[in-house]
Amino acid sequence: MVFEAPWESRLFGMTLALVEADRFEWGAFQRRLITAVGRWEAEHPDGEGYRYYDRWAEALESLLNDLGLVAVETTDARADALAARPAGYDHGHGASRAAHDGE
Amino acid sequence: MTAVPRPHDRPDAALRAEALESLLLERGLIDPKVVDGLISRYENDVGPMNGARVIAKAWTDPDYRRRLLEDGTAAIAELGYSGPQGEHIDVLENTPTVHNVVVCTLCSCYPWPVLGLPPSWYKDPAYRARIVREPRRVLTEMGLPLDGDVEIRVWDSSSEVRYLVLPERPDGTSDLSEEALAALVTRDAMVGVGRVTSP
Repeated sequence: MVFEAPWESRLFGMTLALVEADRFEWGAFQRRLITAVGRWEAEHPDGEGYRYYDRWAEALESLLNDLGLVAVETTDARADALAARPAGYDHGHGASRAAHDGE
Repeated sequence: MTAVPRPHDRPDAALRAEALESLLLERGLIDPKVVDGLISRYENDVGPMNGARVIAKAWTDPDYRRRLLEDGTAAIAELGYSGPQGEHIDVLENTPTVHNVVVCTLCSCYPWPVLGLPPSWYKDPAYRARIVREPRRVLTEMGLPLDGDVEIRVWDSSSEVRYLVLPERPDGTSDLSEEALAALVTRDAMVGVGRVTSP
């Protein structure tokens, strides 16, 4: 299995799409990923509980934040808004179109 | 770099990914069709079957094998495989006395055009640290015990260069077609944590 969860595939796809659209170079993202992985490993010497795509998300969010494209606080607020959707709402993990339709 | 709160402090990674994608869409930074297409490509079209065709051709065509070992990127592109993370691929030849195995100690560098995206164990901190420190033991644990007189070479991938292992062709396969040979070649063998066995 290439991805363990749909959200991982969405993160992967949006990162590559941003590279293809020349929003940043892959190398810039990769440096953030190395930093995020290295910091996690320094804090967790036993390596237990590692989730690669959490580090990917951290790298992408920090890069988009520092490029002025999406502030982390804005993503925080949007995630809070999505979490507050009424019960029974089609959560649609990773399906951002659901978020669009709901607005 | 500004201090950024880290996602592992937050409960729902799926929700955060959804939030981020919706913002990127609204701002016109990504095209959802492009995102869908990229995901589908790496889920369905780009994978170890590409590398397996490269290996099978190298086993059956001595000239191709020579070109592949001289300039992996160019020889791989001859078969139509190129793209992100395939800008510079070196091919490492296994022999009865030398066994090559690949890792990315810093993150997850991997030759996407020939192997697709890396499996979980390749990205795991344990593999990335231990294959460098105690390769013989890790390979044994992964089902590949090697004789003591086989030299193990561990190659650390980077943004500059990715590696593809050319495994040894198994005995008893001289009458197999290139296509039948390709079906025998596994991802693990092309990373160097497995070997190709006869059918």
